[in-house]
Amino acid sequence: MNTWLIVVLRFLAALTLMLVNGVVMIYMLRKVLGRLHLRLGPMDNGPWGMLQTVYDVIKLLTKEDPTPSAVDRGLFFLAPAVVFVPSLMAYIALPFSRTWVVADLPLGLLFVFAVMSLIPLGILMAGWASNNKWSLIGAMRAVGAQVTYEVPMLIAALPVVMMAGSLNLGDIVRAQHNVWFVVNVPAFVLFCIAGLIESGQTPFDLAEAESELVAGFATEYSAMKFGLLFLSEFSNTFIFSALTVTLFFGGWQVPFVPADVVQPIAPVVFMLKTYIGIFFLMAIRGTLPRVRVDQMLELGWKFLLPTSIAWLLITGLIMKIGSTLAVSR
Amino acid sequence: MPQPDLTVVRSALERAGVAVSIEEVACLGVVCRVSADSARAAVATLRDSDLAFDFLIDLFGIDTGEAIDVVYHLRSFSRDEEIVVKAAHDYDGVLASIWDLLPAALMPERELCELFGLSLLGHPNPKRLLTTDGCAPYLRKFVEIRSDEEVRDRSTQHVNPKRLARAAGSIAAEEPMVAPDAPSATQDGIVAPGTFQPTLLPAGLRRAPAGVDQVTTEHLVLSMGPQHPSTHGVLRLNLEIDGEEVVGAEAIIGYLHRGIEKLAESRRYHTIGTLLDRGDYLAGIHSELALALATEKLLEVESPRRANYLRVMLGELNRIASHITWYGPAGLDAGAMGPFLYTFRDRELLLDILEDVTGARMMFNYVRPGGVLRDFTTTAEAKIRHFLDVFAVHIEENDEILMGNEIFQARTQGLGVFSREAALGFGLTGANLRASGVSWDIRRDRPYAAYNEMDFDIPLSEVGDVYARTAVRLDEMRQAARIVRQCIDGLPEGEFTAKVPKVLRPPVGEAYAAVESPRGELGVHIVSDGSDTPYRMRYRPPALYALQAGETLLPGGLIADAVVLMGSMDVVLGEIDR
Amino acid sequence: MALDRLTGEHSAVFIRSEQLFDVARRKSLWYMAFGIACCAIEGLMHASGPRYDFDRLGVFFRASPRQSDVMIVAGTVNWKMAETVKRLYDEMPEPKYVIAMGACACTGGPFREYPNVVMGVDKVVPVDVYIPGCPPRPESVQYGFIQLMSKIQAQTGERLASARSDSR
Repeated sequence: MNTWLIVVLRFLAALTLMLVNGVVMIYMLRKVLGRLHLRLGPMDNGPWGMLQTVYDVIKLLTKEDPTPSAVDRGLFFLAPAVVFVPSLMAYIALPFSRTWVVADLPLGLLFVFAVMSLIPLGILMAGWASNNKWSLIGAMRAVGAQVTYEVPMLIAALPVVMMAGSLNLGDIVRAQHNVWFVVNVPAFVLFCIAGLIESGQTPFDLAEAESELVAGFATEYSAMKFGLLFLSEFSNTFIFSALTVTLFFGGWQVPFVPADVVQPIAPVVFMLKTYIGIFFLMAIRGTLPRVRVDQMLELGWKFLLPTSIAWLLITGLIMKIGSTLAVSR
Repeated sequence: MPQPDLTVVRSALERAGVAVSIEEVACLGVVCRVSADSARAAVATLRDSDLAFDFLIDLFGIDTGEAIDVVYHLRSFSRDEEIVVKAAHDYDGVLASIWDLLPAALMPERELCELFGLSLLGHPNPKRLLTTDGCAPYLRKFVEIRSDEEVRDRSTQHVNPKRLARAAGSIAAEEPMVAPDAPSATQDGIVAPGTFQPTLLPAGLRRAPAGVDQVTTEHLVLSMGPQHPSTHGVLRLNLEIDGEEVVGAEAIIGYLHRGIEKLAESRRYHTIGTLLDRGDYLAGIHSELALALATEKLLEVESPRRANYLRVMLGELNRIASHITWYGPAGLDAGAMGPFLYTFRDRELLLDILEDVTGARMMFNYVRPGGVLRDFTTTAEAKIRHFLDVFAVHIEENDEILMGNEIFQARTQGLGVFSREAALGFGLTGANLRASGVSWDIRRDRPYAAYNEMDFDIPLSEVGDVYARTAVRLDEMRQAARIVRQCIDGLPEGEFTAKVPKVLRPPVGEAYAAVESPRGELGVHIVSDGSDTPYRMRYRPPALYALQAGETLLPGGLIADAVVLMGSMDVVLGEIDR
Repeated sequence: MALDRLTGEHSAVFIRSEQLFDVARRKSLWYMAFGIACCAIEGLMHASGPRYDFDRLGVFFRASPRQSDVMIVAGTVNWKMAETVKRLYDEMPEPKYVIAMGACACTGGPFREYPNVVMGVDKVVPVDVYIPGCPPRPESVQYGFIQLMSKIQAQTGERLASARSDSR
């Protein structure tokens, strides 16, 4: 088949997956939060309210999309795209099975981190262009969080890279054939904290802190531009969960089952694991209060960064000792 | 009510050179009448002398037809005494501010001046509080409310489009209510506007200098509200921020000003409750009760014992309902959605009970002068017992989910600390005061209804921060449940209302009655001229005093702190704006 | 010509998509959390609480007017507030609806005699559904939403009917 056609098809598959994920996750969020809060969540529209988000999206598509007169027009239009595209690009490197991956990048992990770090740029654009004080404060918070947490998150992922000996996400998954890397508990915990902040989840949802900043950087956005911002937020959550599954929970693998047996249902296994992760994120969202911005920065600089570096050294030491012992034996 | 010794008051005031005539008014206590010029000196003397009247209960005006009586209602906690100072001001006169003596006067003075058309002298922020420019001094007797014809035909009201088109932000730039020829120099210890030196409350009203560093920075003025998800109604906070840090704050209120005090002057006594219910809409029973107590004082009627028990029982249920409505959103302010929805399942049960007994979910008009509207129902008893059982479990869950959360503790402990002195100076009452270590509860110290027969504790904390206020309110809910159980177990048989005429015409006089509402001391001051409607009804809004106190603590915190702090003061805008 | 029949004002595609949009509008009404007074407790807080849970109907709240479809004016509007109400209404994107909740928002309620109070929010913004009561119970608010949904449906029906009659 034509190489270009394959590229386009793969890209479309990633796009579709992202949009469908967004719709499903918003529905899931409302259901999960509802159940956590003694409510039912959407019930009336479609069976168990399943069509609710579909209606929401259609409505957002047909809403008027006013441009406030005070905004910086160019940036205002560009910002949702700049937020949306990186989170779409991150899907490219995720291995859904041994063969189901849009682009099998040798530096996949690094690629995901690199594109995800573009998102705050879009958020800052949105906040600045909106010419709204709430938006600006929300955007500044997002950038502050990004600067603080990008480094610890990467360093927290490095022990896994050392254990797998590769930055390729597919290799990392294959290296967890029998033992999931979650055995490296401190690395997992550090990665989760940093990831929660990175993806703007409660208790670190400071960029759009509803009780403080109205709707944060998205305050001035309406209709589908808001829809894009909303979708990409959920897509980020998905990517964070998928990355956690890939790095620590064996990706599409099932422990002690040969890869060939898992292969036909590998994408299903992967999605299932990811959605279990998302469920935990939503449960956190429905329960915990939000930290203050200075507390978040303090946590980042004074705890997470030194601890993650220290744990990286310790992991290296343990691995070195382990291999030395193995050789000497 | 314990009263100060007349001769001591007279000698103290005369030593300070204040000409005074003192009388003892039934139902009100000792009333000192001084001239407008010496009102400030009189208050200063009463505060600083051995009498130690250092707590401003209330400050309001009465249009007597000849002059405006400015009423200072003072209390001494150390001696447990109360006194009223009245000073007759001319129409269009000048009110000398006492905010530097008693900072609690800050907002009430502004309100008094705009609603009676006085000028304000020596006030740091002499702007209108409740109304916009061009509004008449509504509480003056010459201002008439809309007639029946106007009200029936709504088309008579015209909306001026220009006025609507004006940006909402322009409201802040109000004309100050200072007399044009007001002396600018310092006079008799009164500081002229614009030159005051902040002493106690300063930071809230101080504007930080622009460009604090070498780098030229600009402060952002953030208008939080009146439509904002976390301001608990239509409160507007103008925050001046330097990055995330708040350097100046001003609370702007009046978005819900609907003239409860003015309308009460045209309502018969047992229908004023409908207005008061909508004032403090979270705890209607308490406002009705304050009105009923004041009216009963004037009428010299005693309500029967069964009615007293019902008043206490419903009042305490209402207190739980109100605290619940505060506790959930307190979590919501901090970002936790859970507590909000968990507390509302209990509130539904409570509203079922209240509906069963009073007939309405929120607006009861149940407590009437002389007793209550209708008798207790047997179905309600079962519901209350069920609720008490359920609530005992739920409150521990709610306690754990929010108070036990490390993030919530880290955000609230040490935030917004009121010292004992500051709390008293700003006129804080209720749980806010008790969280600062002052053991004062009207239910215990000035018992009304059947509270002297109840056994309950007063939760107290010495810390005075947001966490302490939350903890005190949680404990109050437990105590309230305890009182309800005592009421339902010991509900006496008998009449539920005393014999009172259908149209109440209290004799000429004045009466003040206060109750411990969920927000603090809720007082009703009635001036009767012998007719079937009050001549003047003043409603002491505890949340107004809490609001102006909270406002001063905002600078120095972050935006997130501002939200949590204002939430912790338990402000209800219906009551503040009236 | 053929293209016009496919996508024009009176085409089947247009009418079908219009019907779909109509359903979406009805089933996804995001209201702006705009509590003014007592009604906010019943109409906004209890409505989203465990017993009434408007989320079942696809009705939930957004904090920003830019993302809302319905404004529930829940409480007394006075002159100071009226400017804000108008401004927030102007900020909402079309199609937008207003529900006047409670006696105060409908007519001024028990406070209509006070000169500072606007006698009904319809003096300031156009109102689609009036919910009487002081305050209305959450059930009433839910009924109000259902009325609003049928109103939206009727509006679309009228528009489509006129489009069909034009094409004949």
